[in-house]
Amino acid sequence: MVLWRRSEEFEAGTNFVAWACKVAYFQVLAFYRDNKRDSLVFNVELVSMLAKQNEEKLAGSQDLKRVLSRCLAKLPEQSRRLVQERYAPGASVQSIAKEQGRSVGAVSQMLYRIRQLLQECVQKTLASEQGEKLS
Amino acid sequence: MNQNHQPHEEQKDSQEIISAFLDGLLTDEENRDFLARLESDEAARDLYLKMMNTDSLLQWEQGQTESLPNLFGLTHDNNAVSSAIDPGVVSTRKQLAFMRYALAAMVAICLFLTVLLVMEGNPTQAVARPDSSEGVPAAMIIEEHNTAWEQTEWTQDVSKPLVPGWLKLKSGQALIDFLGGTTVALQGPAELGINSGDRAFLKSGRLAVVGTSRAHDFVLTTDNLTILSQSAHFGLAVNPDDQTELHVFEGSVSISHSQSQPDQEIDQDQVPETAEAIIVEAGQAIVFDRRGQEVARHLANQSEFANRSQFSAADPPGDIPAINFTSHEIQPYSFQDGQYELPTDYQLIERGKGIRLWGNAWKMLEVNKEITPDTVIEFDFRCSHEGQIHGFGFDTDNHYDLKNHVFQIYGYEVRPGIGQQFNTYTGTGWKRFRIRVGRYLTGKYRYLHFIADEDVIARAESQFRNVRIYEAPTQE
Repeated sequence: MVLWRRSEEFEAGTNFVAWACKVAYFQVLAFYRDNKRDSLVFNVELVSMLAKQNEEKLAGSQDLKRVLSRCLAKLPEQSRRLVQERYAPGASVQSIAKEQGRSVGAVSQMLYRIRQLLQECVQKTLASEQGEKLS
Repeated sequence: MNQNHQPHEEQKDSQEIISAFLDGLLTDEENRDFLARLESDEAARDLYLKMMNTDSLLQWEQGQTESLPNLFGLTHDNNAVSSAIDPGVVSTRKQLAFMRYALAAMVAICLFLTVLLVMEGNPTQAVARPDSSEGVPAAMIIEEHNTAWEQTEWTQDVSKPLVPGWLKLKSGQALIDFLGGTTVALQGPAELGINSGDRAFLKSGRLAVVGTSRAHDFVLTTDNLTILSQSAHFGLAVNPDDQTELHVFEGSVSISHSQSQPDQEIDQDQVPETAEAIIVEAGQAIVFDRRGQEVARHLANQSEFANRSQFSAADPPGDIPAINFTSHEIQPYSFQDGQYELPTDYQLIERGKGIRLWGNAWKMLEVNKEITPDTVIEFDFRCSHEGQIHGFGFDTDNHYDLKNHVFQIYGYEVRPGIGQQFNTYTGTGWKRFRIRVGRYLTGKYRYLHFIADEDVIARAESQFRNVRIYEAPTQE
């Protein structure tokens, strides 16, 4: 909503994603500032570093979204279901573990391996697409 | 963790930790270690952001990206299963979850608006309008004399820490501490844009740089000029006829033509390109026309500008007794006192009217003060061995966290979150400090702590005496 309210400030021809992220980033920082007394353990500097480092990554976020969908489709059915369950409303590793009769550690390990697979798949696909563009 | 890992194994370990972090499964200690690693290791941050972005997109794909207010409320089910877990751990997890969601929300919002942009085609041309809701605190108004502030949609609340944005002073005078260490006296009518803790834009009116902590750069820009000051004292006036006058009182400044209107769009990251600079020394004044061309030179006239003494905080009303340290229990403050198993000690001096700390010392005493916007602390300070941070702070408890507020008055370390505007001590003799702390924090504070911080060789020394805390309303 903040971005929508401030959308008229965006200057055509400039990097929209960077601008949008900057506004979002400032909102996060403002939240931190306003809630400074709520014993948050994060420091603003870390959030700032992460946000800045992430700007470049977000520039390719549309590609990432598309490639991630493809990689998700390549996962074994059981893994894909686990991803769906993990990101279902209100879900947690604990609730999945309880439902599946597994230990939290076991579910955590499965998710870790799925994330690893997805990460590798995304990186390889993006790299290969980049290679095709260059050749 | 095993320190002999190969890089590939390290990445694997990191991925495992990040994965557990994303699921909220790290212990309190692991969380702290993880955050510390993120702060210091760029590769870890990079990997974390890759996984974080993927995770956020997975949430997005599942339609789980909640609105920010709810996310901040943190009613995540993760917390429900941990009834047997230490509340501190839960609290930390909530906070970790917040960070994750905050960043996830950023990604989601960015993606959403990217799609909107594609659909929209031609967005409206922008006019930059600084907004006080943006940015981290950059400055603070510490004294005011008969001020009338113009409140508009684009100016900010002057009673709060100032973030990048505009100030419009209709009349009166205000003393503004930039957190980078420069103190500016602004005279109304004036319009001042605050860019960051060490950068400002004077659109109109008159100001004087009346104080600086030790060597640091402060950049002041106008429509046509960029003034770079390294701890100089000077006055600048942008007159109604668009002439600009620069008067240098102490030190020297470098002045150059800026790009057109470099800082009118208040942005913390802007670095205007500058043309050839000229150096203006103490005692000189130059008048520039509206295009930034020099039209006259004469002697600097300090009387045309406000000075620091006009703003000094009021004397204590009546006979406010100084803190008698002998009637307080002096306790170690948080993990900071003697951190890294370094020596820490103190002794009372001047028959209990003062305290001397040395080593790597953070010592506190209970004061139970209600700090209001008018609260001032006054004390004498001296130091024979400079450490990283010398100063004092207030806290509601014995934990060093964001509820703590440190005022640094000496020391070579510039630490994020600790302003440098009071870091003005030099020499080895006693120096009196009078700081309107109520501008920086308000509310009930149980502890006052004093600092002689030196985490490397523990040789810091601080002496404080005649410490008084009192109420002194500003002259409205």
